[in-house]
Amino acid sequence: MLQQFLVVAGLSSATYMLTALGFTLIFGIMRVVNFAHGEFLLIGAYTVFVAQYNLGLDYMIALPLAAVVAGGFGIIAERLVFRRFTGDETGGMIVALALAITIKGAVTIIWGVDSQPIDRPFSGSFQIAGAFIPKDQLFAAVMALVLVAGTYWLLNHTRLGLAMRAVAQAPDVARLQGITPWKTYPAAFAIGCALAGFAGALAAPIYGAEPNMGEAALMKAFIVVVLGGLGSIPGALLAAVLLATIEAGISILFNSSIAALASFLVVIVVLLVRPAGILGRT
Amino acid sequence: MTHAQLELKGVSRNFGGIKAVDNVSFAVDPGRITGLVGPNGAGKTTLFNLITGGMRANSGTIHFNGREISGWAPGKVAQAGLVRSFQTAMTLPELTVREHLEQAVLFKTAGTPLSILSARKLRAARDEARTVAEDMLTFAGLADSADEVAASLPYGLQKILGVAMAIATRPRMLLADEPAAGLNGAETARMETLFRAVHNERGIALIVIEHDLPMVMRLCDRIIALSQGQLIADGTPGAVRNDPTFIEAYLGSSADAA
Amino acid sequence: MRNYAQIVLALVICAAALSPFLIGGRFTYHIAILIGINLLLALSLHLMLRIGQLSLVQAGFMGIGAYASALLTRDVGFPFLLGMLMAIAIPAAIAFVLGTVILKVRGVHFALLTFVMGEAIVLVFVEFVVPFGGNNGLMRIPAASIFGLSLHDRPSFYVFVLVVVGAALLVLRGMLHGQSGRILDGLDKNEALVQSFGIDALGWRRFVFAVSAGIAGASGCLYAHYLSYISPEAFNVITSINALVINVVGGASLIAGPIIGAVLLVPLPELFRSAITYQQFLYGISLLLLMLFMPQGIAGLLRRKK
Repeated sequence: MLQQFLVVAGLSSATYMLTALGFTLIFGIMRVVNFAHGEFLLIGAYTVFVAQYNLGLDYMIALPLAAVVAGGFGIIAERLVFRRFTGDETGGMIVALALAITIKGAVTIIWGVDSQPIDRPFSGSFQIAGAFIPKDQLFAAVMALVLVAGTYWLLNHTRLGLAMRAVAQAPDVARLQGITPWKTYPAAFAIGCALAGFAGALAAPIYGAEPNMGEAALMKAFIVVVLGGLGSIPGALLAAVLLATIEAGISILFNSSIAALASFLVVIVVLLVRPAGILGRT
Repeated sequence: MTHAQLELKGVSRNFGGIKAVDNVSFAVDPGRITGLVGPNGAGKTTLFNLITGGMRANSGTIHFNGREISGWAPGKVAQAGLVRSFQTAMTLPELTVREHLEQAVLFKTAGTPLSILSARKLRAARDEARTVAEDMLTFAGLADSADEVAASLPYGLQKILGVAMAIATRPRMLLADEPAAGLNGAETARMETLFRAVHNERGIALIVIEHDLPMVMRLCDRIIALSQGQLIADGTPGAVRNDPTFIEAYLGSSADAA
Repeated sequence: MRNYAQIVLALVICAAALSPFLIGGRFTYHIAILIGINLLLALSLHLMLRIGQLSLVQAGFMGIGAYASALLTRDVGFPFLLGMLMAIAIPAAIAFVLGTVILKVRGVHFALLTFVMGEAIVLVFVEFVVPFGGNNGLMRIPAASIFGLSLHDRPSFYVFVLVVVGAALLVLRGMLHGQSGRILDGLDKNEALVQSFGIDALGWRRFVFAVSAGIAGASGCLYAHYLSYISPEAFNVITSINALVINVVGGASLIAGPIIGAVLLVPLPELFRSAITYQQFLYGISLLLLMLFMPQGIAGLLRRKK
């Protein structure tokens, strides 16, 4: 039972990290709470569906394609919608909600409300020390970790990444150093949404593609990001592990809705004690 | 007088390892004008925030008129007669100068939601507000701009309005945060005259944070100097001016300010 | 000029409120009742928006009101009016107590905190099958009746909805105009300043939060007794977001805003049931365009002409 708990916690930690990373990156740089983040997962998942069924592409090609498509939509959304709401947090939230409803509505019109099956790149599972590890979930988790590490490298070792971090930490100081904050916005949105696209494409073979999948993902991203501190990347990674552990533990001991309730309570308590989150700045 | 009007004992506040205010203690007697000086980042505004409740101290106690006010909400501190004015001019949109002064009085009476449920009390408060506003317009020399929208006034007048609003609530002590910052020479002189009147005619005690040292030295009967969160000098303007620690910490770093 | 526009607007709203009696028909009353119920929820959110706090737990309060009244009238045998009173008082009391801690959280964090709280409330309804009935919800909720007078038929229930909405509008007017309005406006625009004169900011915010939760509870009570059936998902965050959309479309800076928004938006899904596939997309895209090109909402047009 302990082994199974570790497996479940580990696998979900990785996927939560991936979803939350994109969400918190966009908030950190643009101060936009992207309520449409879940819909970018949706775009990723349906891109895989289209690639497989309409274009006959292999999953391994569809996966990066999903990220490119979601990232592209992200750039468009930033330019046409979000840029007008920089500095207006409430306005930004509302417009993000509107975007979320629109994307979901469009997906429903095109593909209907039913779940679309995706071919699994891997099937079956293997056993280590008495714990079952499904291969497709392991693949998703490993890919998620690789992407998280890659993003981390990008942020810490490239000019663009350094500029983005500077803007996230102190826009005014960044401006003094010759960085124009808004020039980092499209990049932040592209990366954040591409990560969401990856997350959706990785989840699709496991759960299928369906219009409501964004909501559940958004909720997890929310919890992780709020726990870790809005805009804090190390906070999000830490909180992803925390949430996955709490959920896995309580799901095994009780059931999944008690687990969800418990995670909500943890968020509420953390927000009340430290409104800025565990690693957030006030 | 056995009790000081405002008394701080060992007040400290940290921001992530930096001691913004470090074990500061002092007592202020009623009816005095005290200057609070120190270089930028010395912790002066943080200290005001700690006293008026915008921020909670990590340790130490603050007493006002014999009552402990540490940890009180800003509104409650103001109700007790300890008010502050702000470093930058603050106004409410669309309201005229007169309305600002009236609102200051009404905000004081309507501190809690229950306090304005009675129509009779509200009417009485409105009458009082009108009288007080009229009085403050003359007192602060704002009568000429009484019916102008406050936000459209020159910056100096907005700051004078800020002090006038604080006085309109009839406090026992006013903490003024850099009243002369952003003001020209004539406006500074006007602010100084207003402070003298507040002190002499209304008997309100003042603590003034100010970088304009000559003004502080003329106005105050006592100077408290902070540097890096710590109290480094405390005494009459003459004594503090000649205090070597003060000279090094403040004038040494920004000799041109004097 | 502005007063003139306001009088015209008030007359139009009154005419619209009375129009179902002229038009008649079960469907007309059905739409009118739904507008009233949704308007109440939108008004409860409107109060919070006016103090600058976007609360996404309003549908949760609506749910608490709905379940409270449904359980108390159906299982405990409370008369409808007493059930309604509790449907207002219980969420208000919860908000009053919770407000002490949660209203200290501001901005985006408040929106997120209330979002999570809203989801948590729904999960409680789902998880605790006794007494809330789990995912199946509660059935056979008694119809509304006042002192033996049944409000079972739609016209008389609509009259009752109008009375409740009217009362809520009076409460909002009392709070958002006059001295109280000045204080709430000051809290929104410059909290540090108004506090420095002695305003108990938390006290005022808590008062607003409690009243707003009470109005949301009333909305839930009407909903439960009108449909005679409730289930948890009716009170999830989507419902709060719909109330937000009503405010944004109508204009969130005037009381008329949510009224206009509710009258325009609530009938849409009912009228276009056949176009259900396109409904969500059209809804989203209109909201998006509205946010981009008319951020003040429809009521904002009135204000600009001042």
